Amino acid sequence: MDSSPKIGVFLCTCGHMMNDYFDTRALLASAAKEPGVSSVDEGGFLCTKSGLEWLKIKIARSGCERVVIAGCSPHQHELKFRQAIEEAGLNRSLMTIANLREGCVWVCRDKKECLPKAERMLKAAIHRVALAKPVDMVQARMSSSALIIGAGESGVRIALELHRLGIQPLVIDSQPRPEGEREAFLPTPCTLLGTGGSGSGQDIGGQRHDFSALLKELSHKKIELLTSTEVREVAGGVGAFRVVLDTQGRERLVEVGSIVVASGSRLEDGANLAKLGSYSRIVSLGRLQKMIEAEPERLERMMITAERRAKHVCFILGGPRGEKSLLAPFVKRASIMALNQAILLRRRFKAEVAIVASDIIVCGAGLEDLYRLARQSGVLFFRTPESRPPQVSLEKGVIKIRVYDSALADCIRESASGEDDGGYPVLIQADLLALEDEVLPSLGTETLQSILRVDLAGISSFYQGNIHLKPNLSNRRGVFVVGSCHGVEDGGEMLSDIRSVAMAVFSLLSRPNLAVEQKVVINTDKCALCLTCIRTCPHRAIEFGEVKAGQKWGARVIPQACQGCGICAGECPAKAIEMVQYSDDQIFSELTL
Amino acid sequence: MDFTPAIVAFCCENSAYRAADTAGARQEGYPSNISICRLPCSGKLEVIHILKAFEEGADGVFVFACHPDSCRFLLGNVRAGKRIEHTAALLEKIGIEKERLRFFYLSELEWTQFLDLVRQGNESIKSLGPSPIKVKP
Amino acid sequence: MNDQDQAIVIGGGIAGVSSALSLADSGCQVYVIEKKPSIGGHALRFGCKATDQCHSCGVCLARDKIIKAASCPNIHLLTQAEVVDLQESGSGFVVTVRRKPQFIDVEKCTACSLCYQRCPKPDRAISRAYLSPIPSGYVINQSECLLFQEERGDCDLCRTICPAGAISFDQQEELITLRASAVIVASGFSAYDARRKGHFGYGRLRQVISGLDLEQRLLAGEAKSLVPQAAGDAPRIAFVQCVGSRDPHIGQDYCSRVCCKYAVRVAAKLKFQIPEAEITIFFIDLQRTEREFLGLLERMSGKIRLVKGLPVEIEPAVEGGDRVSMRYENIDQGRMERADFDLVVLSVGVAPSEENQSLAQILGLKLGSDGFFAPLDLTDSTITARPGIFLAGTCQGPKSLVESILHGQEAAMRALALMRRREEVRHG
Repeated sequence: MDSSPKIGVFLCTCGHMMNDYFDTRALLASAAKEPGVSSVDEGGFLCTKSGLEWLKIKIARSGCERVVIAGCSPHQHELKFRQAIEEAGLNRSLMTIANLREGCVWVCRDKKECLPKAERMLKAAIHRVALAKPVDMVQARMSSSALIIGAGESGVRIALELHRLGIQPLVIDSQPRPEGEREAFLPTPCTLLGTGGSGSGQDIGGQRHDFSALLKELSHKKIELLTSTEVREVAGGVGAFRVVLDTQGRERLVEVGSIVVASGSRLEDGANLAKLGSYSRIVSLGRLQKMIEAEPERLERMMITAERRAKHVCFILGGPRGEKSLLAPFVKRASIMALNQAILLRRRFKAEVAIVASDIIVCGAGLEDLYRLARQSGVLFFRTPESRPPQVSLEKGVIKIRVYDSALADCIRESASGEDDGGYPVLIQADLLALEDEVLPSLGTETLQSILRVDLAGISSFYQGNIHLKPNLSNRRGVFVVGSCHGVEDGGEMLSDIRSVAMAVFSLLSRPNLAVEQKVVINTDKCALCLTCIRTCPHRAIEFGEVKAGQKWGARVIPQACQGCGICAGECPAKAIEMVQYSDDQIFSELTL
Repeated sequence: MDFTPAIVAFCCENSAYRAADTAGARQEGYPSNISICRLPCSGKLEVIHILKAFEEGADGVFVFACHPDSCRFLLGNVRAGKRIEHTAALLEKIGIEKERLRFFYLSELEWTQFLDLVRQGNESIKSLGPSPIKVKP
Repeated sequence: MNDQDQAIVIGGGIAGVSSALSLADSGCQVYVIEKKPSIGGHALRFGCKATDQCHSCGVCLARDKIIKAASCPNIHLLTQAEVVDLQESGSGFVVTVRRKPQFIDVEKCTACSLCYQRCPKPDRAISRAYLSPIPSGYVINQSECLLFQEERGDCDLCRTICPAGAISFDQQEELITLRASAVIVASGFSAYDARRKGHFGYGRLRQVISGLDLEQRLLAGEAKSLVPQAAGDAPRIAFVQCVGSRDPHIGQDYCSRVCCKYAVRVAAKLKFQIPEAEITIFFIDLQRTEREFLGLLERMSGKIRLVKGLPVEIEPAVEGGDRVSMRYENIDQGRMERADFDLVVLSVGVAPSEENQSLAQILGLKLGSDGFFAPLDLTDSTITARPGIFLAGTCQGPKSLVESILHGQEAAMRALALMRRREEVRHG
């Protein structure tokens, strides 16, 4: 057939190393017999600069339209070779690499096996490249703007950071006014260390301003903030998301380059307290923090009695009966909160403070110091074995906590005969008991996820189990998560998180146009509109719409969002989707044995 | 007569293909009758590709996917696993032992496991004998 | 972003690479200065810890980034190089870099391995630093190479046989001057030297290895062969946590953040590979901060023994042949106990690099009391006292792979914001 494209086969012998393994001329002679092969050649160092030049000249001289390179693994120099054939005037996908080095000569124990295997591999590559189709390059517009969902501390802060980098942020919140509490009192280890004990959560070393100052900065920089606004619909892909916003019934369409979810979390104190019956002197850490920050009179009433004697306060970390529940994952957050509050109560009210825990997490900046400070301030620590959690009971208005301390057991072993397993018994009487809260995603998070079409997994709802999405990426390119909505546990970590997400958003959107390969094509004539691809695409890179202006409807690929996995092509029941570089015929061509 | 089976190994280019490369680069050697077919993700592998491999005369087909939770495309490996199960059932129906189709999780760094798996796999296919498709009645 | 914006990243480990990639993607020209012959640092020395599923150790994530950086047109790698001087100039810096002779031209080397195979030194003066280094070529180790030795100073076999002509011994050390608007310090960490804990027998007892040794064996696919595989006698493996962490006596009074996680992950991997192995982890506290780590702990409960308490000493076992005997404190039981093991893994922590002091001097930065580079503020840990110089990764304090990647991005963001501010000032 005359119309079949001319194929050039270039063998790179890796510095003539391959000559030791087989007769390269015999290999090329057999390759030359394959249909379509117009020229064969051999070089020593195709991957070097001069080698690539040699390749380009050879392609031009031989007039071949497709190229097979037989040499090392495609993971070594594929990019270089694709660039070279592009410079030689061919489409970048009209090339196949036969992995003769890592896949053949270095594999065969017996040198006699090399030639037949190499011939087979080269033949497969020639057949494969004969079926290759050119890949189209598409220019995707990247809008340098971002939608930030959630006007809590993390949302407002990332808006400010993005603005600093030159990205236009738009902040929305479902609540009527921005909520500083969205991060649900993310504690910082520096809360106390920096200020010597005010502990108000404000102005720590000049770094954490209070929330209203952040809002002021937002309006000063003319960053738009829409309250009582929810996301209704998200279409498009990275660089050009089309988002329908709903502000109390009024809809508005915005186009943004990126979406940052900063929906925060909330503390739920019900679960732990309910187990003990409601009693005003048993509170959650979150409630106590609120009192410390906003209700000083109430706190004083609780802490100072008529006799002005020191009060006994006890903190229990990990649930009152030590159950392993949702609470356990946030033990670091609870540790920091309890340590902060314990030091504060000790300093301000000279209270007798005890912290009962089986584990205290101190891994993090300044945490070991915070723990030491607590010890030095006279806070008592009781470490309970996990097998024997503390028991809480209410007796005539007094809270009694029975604890089995494993460290004490060691010291008092001789006197405590019979207490063989699980610690020495201690009875703590407390006037105030603080328990760990449950950390939950903000209300409405689930709906938001289904609208954004990002995956729901794990404990904190935006948390991703897949390592390649760690820590701030979502399955949808251009959608990021930040702050406590993906499980950040302390304030310092949150600030870190915000800056690194800001960087990721900026490097994604810094170029106004992005050239991307159209890796997947959909044959609209075959498309039966079954929506299977739209459901199965892990990156939400396929949408349903007009395929040609004013014409047929069908599935279409958003090229800049597509990552080329081919899952849609594998799933399409009508075989309407084809990967440009991995068509069925190409895969079949490699199976000739 | 010593029988050398023809085996196709479908490898995800992010994991097993790299592992095979490393195994090659270490020059440890593995059975040369294993032909590696590179895929962008194991989720791209379709039933027809496996059937075609048997039709073309493969005595065994190995599929390598990334470990659960480490697929760069989230669930491509899980999809592959399900398709393999389905294909194995089809193979049984048409009289091909389902043991000829093997599915493995492998990461790019586990090149020694790759060697172990292909060597053992090669032996087990060898013990099964030639594919019934190739044996003329 | 201004096209002339140049940044220098000191250290080609994962934090540096992450910074460099972020900057390069935003249009900066980035010079990465790496003292080793290949980039990647510690991250490329770790093995995959997946069992029947991935345990999110992040090694493949880091590898992806490092490979991407090596082929990024805006990133310029200067390997076997170190910063010798830094001066302020205008709104940026002039940095002087000393680059050791390379001997093997990376551009020409095809990694055909011929020189490695033919090197006459029994333990070979030519090597690849580790499995698939980046850039991929070989390196000549000057202290091993016969050409540079007194007695046989004329061997240049590799040069004559290199088919690519990539080897040249004429190269000299060179000084390179670079201008940069921002400098990111990402010089990394040193693993704690377990020899300093003499009573654990590291370096004396064959059965005692460090967590880093184990990682390397894992990468080489040899982890299984570390313990005897005799039938009927299950191998006994111990992990000892906090070796060189949380210990005021040695001045390393902080949590290294990574050891609990790597120990449990590697223990899970060993248990998966050798199902009959009996594995015990000795710890002070398990610093369970990642949610998938909690999941792993839960899955491993019952399969791995956890003992709260650390060993006091490790010595050769009196009976039991090839084992070592460990005396340890069992805090939950409140008593001293003794047990024999085939393999003891010391989970060494993240220690400050020995070169921090000299680097700090060159850059005019301060080190904290723990020996790491001190940030200006704990909650903004990439900022130093010197505007324009930023910190990234474990040179500032212990971090996991994923945390280092994040920290690198964070430093890049700070550097970019600074460049933008300066640009705005320039243009009014």
